[in-house]
Amino acid sequence: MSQNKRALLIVGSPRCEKSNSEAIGTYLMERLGEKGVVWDKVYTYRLTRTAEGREKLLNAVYGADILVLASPLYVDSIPSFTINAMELINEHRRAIESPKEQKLFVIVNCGFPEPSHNQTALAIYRRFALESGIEWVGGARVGWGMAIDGRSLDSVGGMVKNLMRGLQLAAGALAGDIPVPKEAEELISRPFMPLVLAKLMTSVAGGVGWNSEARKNGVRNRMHDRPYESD
Amino acid sequence: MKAVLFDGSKDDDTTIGTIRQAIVEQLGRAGWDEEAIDVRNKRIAGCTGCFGCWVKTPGICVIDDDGREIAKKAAQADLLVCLTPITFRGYSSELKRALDRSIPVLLPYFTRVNGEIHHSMRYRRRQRLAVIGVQASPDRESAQIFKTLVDRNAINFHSLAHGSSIIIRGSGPREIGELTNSLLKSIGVTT
Repeated sequence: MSQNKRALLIVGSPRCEKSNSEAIGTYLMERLGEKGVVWDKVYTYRLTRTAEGREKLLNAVYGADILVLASPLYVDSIPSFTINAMELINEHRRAIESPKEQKLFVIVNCGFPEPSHNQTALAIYRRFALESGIEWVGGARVGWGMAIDGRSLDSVGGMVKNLMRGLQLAAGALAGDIPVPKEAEELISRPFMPLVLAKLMTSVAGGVGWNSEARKNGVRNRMHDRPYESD
Repeated sequence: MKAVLFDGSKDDDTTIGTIRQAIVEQLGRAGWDEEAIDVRNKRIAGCTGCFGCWVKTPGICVIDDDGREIAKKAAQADLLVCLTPITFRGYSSELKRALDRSIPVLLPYFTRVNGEIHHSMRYRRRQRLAVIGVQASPDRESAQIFKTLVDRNAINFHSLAHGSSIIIRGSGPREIGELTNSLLKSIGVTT
């Protein structure tokens, strides 16, 4: 049955191929591919910038039976160009008298240790599905994205084993046309390590990486600059 | 005291226009200097998540467009007012474009707020934050999510005080004036 299905990964990160959204989403799509689902991917950052790109985005989205949206968290919500893509998709579907049946599964990731930061973004995605007449089949939250750092999940190792197991379960459900089990959402959303430890590591060592990057750019001593300070 | 207003409407939105006028008048009467910015008319690219504003040109976005002015206005304001059509329970892409480009006001370093990890502020100045969303009809669940989003923004930007309000599209000037006045009062902007 799944042989005829088409799925589309919508990567909502401006970092495109180098993003955690790409890494997480691609892992899920590859599992869908193993189950006979034909899949493709698009990048909202690139396609929302031109009229030609926007048309390409809408055609790709409308051509799919299963939509998987993977995005980062930006300022407690969704990156602006991905909201723009959602506005366009919503407008497109509302303009069609009987739009085709489509399903949406969403994964939001952030750099903070707590996956709960992503909860509001997930609620916004869910509403987008409802207002666009797309079936919401589930969503999951991933925290501490720095552990993935844009690498393929297979190469990250044991730390992301629950994430991979959850994505496998989600792929099975999406391909089999059954509801994504809560267990899949729970496994994807499970912190990579005990939160207490992840928070401690972030608090204590989180600045080390930033300082190292700044040092490479020769601005280590200017990290606290206040260029717009006023009285 | 300086107030900056980010108008995140998609086009000429008469309800948001009325809200904006009411706020400008109320701030003026309370002695605030205000400046309103139509985000849709500014040249603001989407944030690329490069973190250059933290590790290459600290405090300044590496993209040289009107987005730099957005961060500057946000850093120098005592009050930030955001107006948006409620879009899937959140902000319009226009308003979000401005907010995404405001991250140079933060530092990459982490701090804890109520036990949760957040970024630290770059500046000593703390803003008051008022966000008003416009939607077609009352919807309790959407209102709750919208309020939560504003609450989360207030935590991340370490706001001095914050509040949000939802106004139903087509509301009259009097009703709008009462709601905006009540919101500004609730965060200590007017008395």
